[in-house]
Amino acid sequence: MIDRYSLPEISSIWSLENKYNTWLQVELAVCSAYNKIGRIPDKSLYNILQNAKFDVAEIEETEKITKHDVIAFLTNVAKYVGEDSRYIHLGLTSSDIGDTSFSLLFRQALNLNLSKAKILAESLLQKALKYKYTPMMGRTHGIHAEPITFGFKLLIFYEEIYRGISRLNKAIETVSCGKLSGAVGTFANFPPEVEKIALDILDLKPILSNQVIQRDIYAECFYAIASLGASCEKIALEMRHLMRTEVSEAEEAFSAGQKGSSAMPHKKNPIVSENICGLSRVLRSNLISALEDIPLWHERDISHSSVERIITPDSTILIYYILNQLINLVDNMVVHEDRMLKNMQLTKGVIFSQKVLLAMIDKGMLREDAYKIVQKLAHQAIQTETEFAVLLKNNEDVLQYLSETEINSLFDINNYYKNIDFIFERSLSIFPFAALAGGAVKATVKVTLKDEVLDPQGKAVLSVLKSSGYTNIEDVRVGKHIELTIKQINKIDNIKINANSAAGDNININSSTKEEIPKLDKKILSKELEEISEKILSNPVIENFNIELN
Amino acid sequence: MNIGLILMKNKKINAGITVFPGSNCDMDVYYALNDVFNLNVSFLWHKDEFHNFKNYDFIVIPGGFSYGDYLRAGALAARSRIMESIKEYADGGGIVLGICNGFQILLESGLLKGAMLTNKSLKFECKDIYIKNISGNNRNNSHENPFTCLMEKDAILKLPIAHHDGNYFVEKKKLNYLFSSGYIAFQYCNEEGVISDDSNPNGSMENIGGLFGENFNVMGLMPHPERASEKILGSGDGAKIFNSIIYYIKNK
Repeated sequence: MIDRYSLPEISSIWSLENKYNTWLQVELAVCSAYNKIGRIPDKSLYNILQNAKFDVAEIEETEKITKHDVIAFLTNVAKYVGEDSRYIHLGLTSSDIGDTSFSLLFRQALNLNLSKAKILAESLLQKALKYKYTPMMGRTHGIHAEPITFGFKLLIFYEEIYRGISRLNKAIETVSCGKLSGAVGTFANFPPEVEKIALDILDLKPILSNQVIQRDIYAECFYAIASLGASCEKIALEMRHLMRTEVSEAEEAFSAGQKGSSAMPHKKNPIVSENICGLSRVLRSNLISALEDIPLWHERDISHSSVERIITPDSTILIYYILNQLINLVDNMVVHEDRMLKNMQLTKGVIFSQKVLLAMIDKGMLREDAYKIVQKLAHQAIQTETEFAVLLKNNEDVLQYLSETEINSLFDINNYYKNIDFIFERSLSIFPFAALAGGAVKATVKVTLKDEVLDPQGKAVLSVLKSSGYTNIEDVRVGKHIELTIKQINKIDNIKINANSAAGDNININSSTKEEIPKLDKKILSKELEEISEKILSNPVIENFNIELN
Repeated sequence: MNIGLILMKNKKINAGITVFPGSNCDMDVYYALNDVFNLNVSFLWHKDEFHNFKNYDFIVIPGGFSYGDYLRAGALAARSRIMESIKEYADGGGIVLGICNGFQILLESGLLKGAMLTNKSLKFECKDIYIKNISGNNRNNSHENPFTCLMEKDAILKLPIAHHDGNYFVEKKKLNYLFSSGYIAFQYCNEEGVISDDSNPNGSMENIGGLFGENFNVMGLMPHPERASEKILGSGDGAKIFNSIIYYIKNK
């Protein structure tokens, strides 16, 4: 992947260093397993575990000659281990190491993305709660439909990302498999029990394989990535629509010194959203290639390998970048609530047409007749730019069924929001954030005595260590390790919407009350932890503290 | 004045004793104040608050293991509701004596400066020791305080200690300030009054065993005067502290 989109923590997973290191872990797990069944003597295993290492540059030099990366790697490790290297790679084929390692690396990359995706879900939920009662226009086919709230829109995004996280979790479970079964997977030269022990050490499950792990396993991971990417793209696409000049309901944060266009100084463009939409296309293309890797010749050909070398780092790095971009976008987006209200008024109240229709049917009018009248007046309202309510009140057919007061009551925007609380509550009971965060967010506070303070316990431990022969230990300080579990959002605060509209007038909505959810705000949380640690958990006269938030 | 009259008069003095989960010297203090000194004594429960400060002539925070010494000795008790009231009481000039765990609680609550570390010996030290009254030794400390006003300068008291965390610590800079401002009440010494490492039972900085708060109306004391309030208990020296408090209250 090009540097521009490569964040270091995810790129490093795909570095040569990490690849060889993972290969080494697999080889060492196999050696340990062989030792367990008595095939490798303790002394040799100890020697192997102590001395096995590699040098990336040296491997590259050797590979120029061997044209085979696993052999080059083994040659290099053997150089450091010496004679006992004859026990390394016993009865294995290159794919045993390559595919088992591939699973481990893929899992590492998915896990990193999983933690990022959880942050995105948290950001979306926080904003959904913040804008839970912010009225805006719901649009279908790009055309005004009925009122929604901005929080409602964001809650849908939250649920979707939550499902994306479930798919990632499933993919991680699927990819947690390895194969150590020899050239065509028949264990002809490799004991199955060694596979079992070694894979246990690596926390992988054995899977029936020929020379390689079947590629549908990995295709599933690419699907989880591409689908999460598409969901991110959907959110970004929404942002682009909302940022269009004619809509202007929300926009990406525009930082000091940022420039929109080289030619047009007035421009503020949705560049982050467009960037996400573009990159997501690459993820989808890579999924096609991953699917095409599934059919291989007989017990294996190597046509998949070159593809995977490109698409696996690329897709995992790109989705990570996308998630990162989207988190920043969501956290910092600017929301124009006033503009959302103004836009709702563009269509002169026709957005209440369904309420009018249903009321007239309720009063005994035939559905077909009511529809015709309401449709006619609604279209007229837009064409003549006249309030829909005024037209209704001046229409004799309508007045036969509805009084002016009844018409007025239909134009109350609160009618559309009566179930917002229910929607949020149901959503969070099915997709509770706490479960997403692995049950709980934990903070660890370490309390240690200040350097200048005498630590009698430490001294006592030191003297025991010394008398037990551990002469390398110079000093011991005993401290406290305190774990705090942080409460997650599990209930929605009941903030009542304070919005109303009067028929014929402009839709008049008082701004609704909103509250940030303090428990989710990391800055507030950090401050609180700081306070707890300083005031209660430690005594600043004698102790220092250090907070870690997971 | 005969002793009966003195005791009659004492009955007008009201003392409060705080009770935390894990306090275990509350009844000892009650016995000393009620039975030996004939005061009007009541308990203050840790969950309660009180605002009728005039109802208490002084308050004792007794020894024990409040909250099992969890987190740090005295740390949790210092954050209890009753301590909020006691802080207000002390700020308004109320007399507060913290004994042993009570001393630790006063340190943790910020009414006294410094902190307690585990005894240097790592042992629970339970024995009779000697402390020397050094209050008034400093020219800045010429005024009388409620706790030592009946004692002679350099008076030596024999009192029992029973604690695991009595190793007093404070930053060097603050230590100098405490001495120069007369805030040190008692130092551990031997029978002859010599202050040395040998007579230091817990490793306390400068052998500090008793300490005043900012306005001399609060004192933390590591030994237990209530366990030495009558000769029959092995020493009556603890009575000197309670008699000082009673005298001070009567004559203020």
